[in-house]
Amino acid sequence: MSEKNNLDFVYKEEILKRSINPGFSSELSKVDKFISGLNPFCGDEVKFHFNLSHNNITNIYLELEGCAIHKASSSLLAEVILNENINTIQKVCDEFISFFNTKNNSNQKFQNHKLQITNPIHSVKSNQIRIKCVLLSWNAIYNNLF
Amino acid sequence: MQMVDFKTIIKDFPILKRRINENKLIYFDNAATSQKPKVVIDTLSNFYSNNNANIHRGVHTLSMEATYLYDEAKEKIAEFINAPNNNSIIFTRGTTESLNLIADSWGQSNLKESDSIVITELEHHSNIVPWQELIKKTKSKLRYIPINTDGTLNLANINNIITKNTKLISMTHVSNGIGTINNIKKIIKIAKSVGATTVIDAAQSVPHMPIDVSDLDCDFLTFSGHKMLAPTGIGVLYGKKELLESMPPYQKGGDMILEVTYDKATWNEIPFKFEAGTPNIAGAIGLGAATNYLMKIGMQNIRDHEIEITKYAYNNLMNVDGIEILGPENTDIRAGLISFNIPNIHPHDLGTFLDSKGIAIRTGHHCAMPLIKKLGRHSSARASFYLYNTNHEVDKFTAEINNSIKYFNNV
Repeated sequence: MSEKNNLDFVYKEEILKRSINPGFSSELSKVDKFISGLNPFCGDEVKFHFNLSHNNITNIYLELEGCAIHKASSSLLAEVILNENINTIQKVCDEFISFFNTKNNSNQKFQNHKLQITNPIHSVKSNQIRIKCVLLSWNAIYNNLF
Repeated sequence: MQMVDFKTIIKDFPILKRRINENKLIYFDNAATSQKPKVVIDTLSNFYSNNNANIHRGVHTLSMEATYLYDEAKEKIAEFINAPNNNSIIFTRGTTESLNLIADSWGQSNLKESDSIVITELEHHSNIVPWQELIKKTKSKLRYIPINTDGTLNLANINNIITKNTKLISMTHVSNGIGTINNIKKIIKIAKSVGATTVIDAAQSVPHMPIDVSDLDCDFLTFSGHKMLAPTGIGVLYGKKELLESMPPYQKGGDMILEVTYDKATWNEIPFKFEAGTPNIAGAIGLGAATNYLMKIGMQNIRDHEIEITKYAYNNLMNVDGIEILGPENTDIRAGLISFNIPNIHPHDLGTFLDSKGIAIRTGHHCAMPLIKKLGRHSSARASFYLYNTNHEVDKFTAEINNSIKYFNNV
């Protein structure tokens, strides 16, 4: 149980900005793949609409309901997986989820360089109860895309 | 009525001396669970240090002492809710288990296909899901008393909802989600007019106001110890003696039998029939100590204190820019809790902000997902008060909500 709860440490400016404007807000004319996630304990919700071409994600429309951390994390995920092959996405999600589920690895370097853009949200690891907000969308993709 | 200085009560609760994130703890999450006074903590410690043994079966001194303390706790609780008979008090794990016991035991032996169960749109999941499962088994129907936009019950069509086919009405006394106090006496009267059995979920009322089951004339009433200063894992099912006697056991095992052969068993009398296995003995004794503590202060005194603090908080919060408060305004029909939303700040983020200032509130759907959705929300923030809270704490709480608005909107 961590006593550390410096607000600015959890809510970095980039996270707050991204939560207000997560992007990926244009609806798709046709949807090749739909994935949703729900945290039944808090009501946070995500709906991913994808266009796929040869197993590559070519377009994303994101519907979000929930807290700032969930929204920012979902937005980061969408940015990481856009234009990626689903096999790569599986590895990327696995790497990100493992990072949050493993203790004492704060300085870990990611194998996939695109994950570097998620740096601002890594400090949420200090707030055990909010890790589920970070991981809701990542788990939804990891468990349902393949 | 005895005068109580509520400002001194805080000294009885060791945890309230704690500092959280370098701030003095303000605990406004009492609808989730309450803090424990030293007398309850000491009672548990004393029991395990001096009297611990199993009950109702040993002939040695410790077993007799433990049995005496356990039975004494039951007597105290019967007195607390004015139950006519100690044997009408069944110890359970809490409200959830009490409601499941009724659904499994009474429900499966009393309902048939043409029957209906009536609940309300205000219910906690624990007073919805057992009935949803029960109707699958019995092929009976589940009907809801709807709510108005202010979170009060809409009784306009009550005679079309509670009909001669209604066999059971199960409803919350106080909504854990938005604080509405229901007129249960009125509903119990309507239920009786059609011969329906009545269940009152009193998890949010027994800890906070005087409750008299004899006056209410309900058939069952359920509540949890941990919301009324007692340990977790202990709760109560009150039931009318003749009903409990007519019901089959909920769980089978030790203590609940009269006689067992290799072929069959017969059931012990109430309350033992419903307390299979070794119960939460220390928890029950702790609940007795908590009940004693509450009775010394006086439940009407506690209710009056909570009315004052809730009015104060409501009026303060109404000055917060854009705030939306769920549930009724009138504190005659609102218990000591306020559910609300602040525009552009998700309740979780508000909860984390307030925690950084030492203030504990609940955020989410409060285990009342259908209710929060019905009110057009995904979640809300909830501040819930108890006897140790003060108006001074409300001042700090309101100030920090205003600070959170600045924090999250200054990006």
